[in-house]
Amino acid sequence: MKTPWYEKIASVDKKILYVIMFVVVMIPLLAKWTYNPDVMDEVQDIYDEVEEIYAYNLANPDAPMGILFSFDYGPSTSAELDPMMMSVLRHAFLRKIPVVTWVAFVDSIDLGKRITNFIAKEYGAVYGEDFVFMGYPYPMTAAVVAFGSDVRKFLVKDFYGNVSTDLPLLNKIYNYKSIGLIVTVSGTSMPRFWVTYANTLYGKKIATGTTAVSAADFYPFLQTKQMIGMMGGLRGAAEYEKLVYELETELIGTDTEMYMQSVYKQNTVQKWDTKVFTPGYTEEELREHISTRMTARTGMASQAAAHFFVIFLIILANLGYFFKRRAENKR
Amino acid sequence: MGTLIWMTIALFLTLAVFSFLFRDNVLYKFAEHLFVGVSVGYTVYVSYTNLFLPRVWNPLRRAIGDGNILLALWLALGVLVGILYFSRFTQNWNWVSRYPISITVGYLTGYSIIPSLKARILSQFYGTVVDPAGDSLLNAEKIGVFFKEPTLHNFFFEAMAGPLLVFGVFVVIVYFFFSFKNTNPVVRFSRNPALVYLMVAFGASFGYTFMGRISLFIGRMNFIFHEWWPIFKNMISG
Repeated sequence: MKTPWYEKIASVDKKILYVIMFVVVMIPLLAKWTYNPDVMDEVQDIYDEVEEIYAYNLANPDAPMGILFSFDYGPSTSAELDPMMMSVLRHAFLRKIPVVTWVAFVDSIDLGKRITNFIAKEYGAVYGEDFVFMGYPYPMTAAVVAFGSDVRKFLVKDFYGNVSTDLPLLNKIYNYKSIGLIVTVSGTSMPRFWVTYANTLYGKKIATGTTAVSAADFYPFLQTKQMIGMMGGLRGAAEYEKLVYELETELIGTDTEMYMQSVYKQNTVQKWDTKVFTPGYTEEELREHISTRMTARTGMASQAAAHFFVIFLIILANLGYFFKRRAENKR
Repeated sequence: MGTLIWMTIALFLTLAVFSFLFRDNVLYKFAEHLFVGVSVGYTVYVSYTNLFLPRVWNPLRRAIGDGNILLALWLALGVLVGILYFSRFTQNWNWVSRYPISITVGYLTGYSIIPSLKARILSQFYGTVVDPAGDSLLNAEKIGVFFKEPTLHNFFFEAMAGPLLVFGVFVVIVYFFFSFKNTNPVVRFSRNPALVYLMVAFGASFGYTFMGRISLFIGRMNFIFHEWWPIFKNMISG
């Protein structure tokens, strides 16, 4: 007797589905299709907040506001979270907003240092004047509370061993009064931690970037305005990436490669500390800097294809189930 | 050349992990054990160089060198209390580890109890009664606006968003509080709508989880085809 189609689809080997999923994901990735997402309010709010800080700094050049970036994630979630951290950092450096970064976990130190320096290098930011990396402040709770008064007393030295009070940036940005926004990018419950301390105790604005798995947990904090915005998963990253790409195109044009090289063509390379990054680029580095500008949007094209495939499978499986039940009832 | 070697090792490990989709095998096991071992080793090394040396050892040596005995004793006391954690490894003395645990728990509880209460209970409770603009979530005026201008936006985002949120919180709380057999009409009525709310929430979580998993896969494929392959190709073409 011939096996009906709904019996056949119920017994398809999982490995076949994996292979099809692999092909579905790979086609947009290899063809470098990009996805042009509509920007949701919660992502636009973060962008607008950074722009407000920029406007404030233009009006108050002697007492600028900075942004504190907390790398609250490790390498296991960097595929999702690196693009959003890079996009917001690019936005801050593009607008010459003072940047303070640190990490929440001991195994994130290298990741935090690498990404901070990677993005700072693109805009020729000078360590100690435009940005600082404070390493791993331990214990984190005490560090967050210390920022309420003077973080230099708690973190006497930065990651590179410089005395905090010797760094010009930390003489302007050393407590929450001079922090306009805290950006926590996390694959854990750390955004709740920031809401609990920095927002509740000091009224600081919190912007979150989170893995897709955790995104649903943080929507209640948007409703109560305890967080001003959220980038959820690769989609949130793609939206912010798009906004920053548009801003970058407006400010420095479409030839980003030429812009990045021109930063280090002047005879002022000695102002950059080679302990932090080496001025100038190799061909490989340039390619990496350019490709990270569209990681999330390229990834979202694959995401969309994978989602269509899964939706198709869900519909097919439900139809199969429906016909199977009908056939059983007839018998 | 060095970069290519390390990246090829990463490529090999990525493929070894994905080979689990075919079946559990020795390559997967190797990658899994290597990952755990390297993670622990890395964390121990980074903790030693970034925490122990700059926060304990170097200040302790400096304090002793400067004759600052009080500071040296203070640091040594911290180290001694920390070492008590290792008593977990002995059967007769493992009770001693309760001291550092109680100090840590007490310290964090003291720090967090008030802000947690405000951030996670009071503010969330407030958010279930009042919308971000400060209006009641059960605002009859907004329902009136819908009847004046009956658009989909006015229905879902103005008139019904608040009542649906309040109703959802109510039925889901009732569902979980009275999960045992109960014939009370309110409890009975709440079950089906509560299940609908829960299914919508689980569906959203599932969607996001799927997106997260695919993102990780895309991340690895990006590495293979956009990072490793161009370098490998350059190397081959000389």
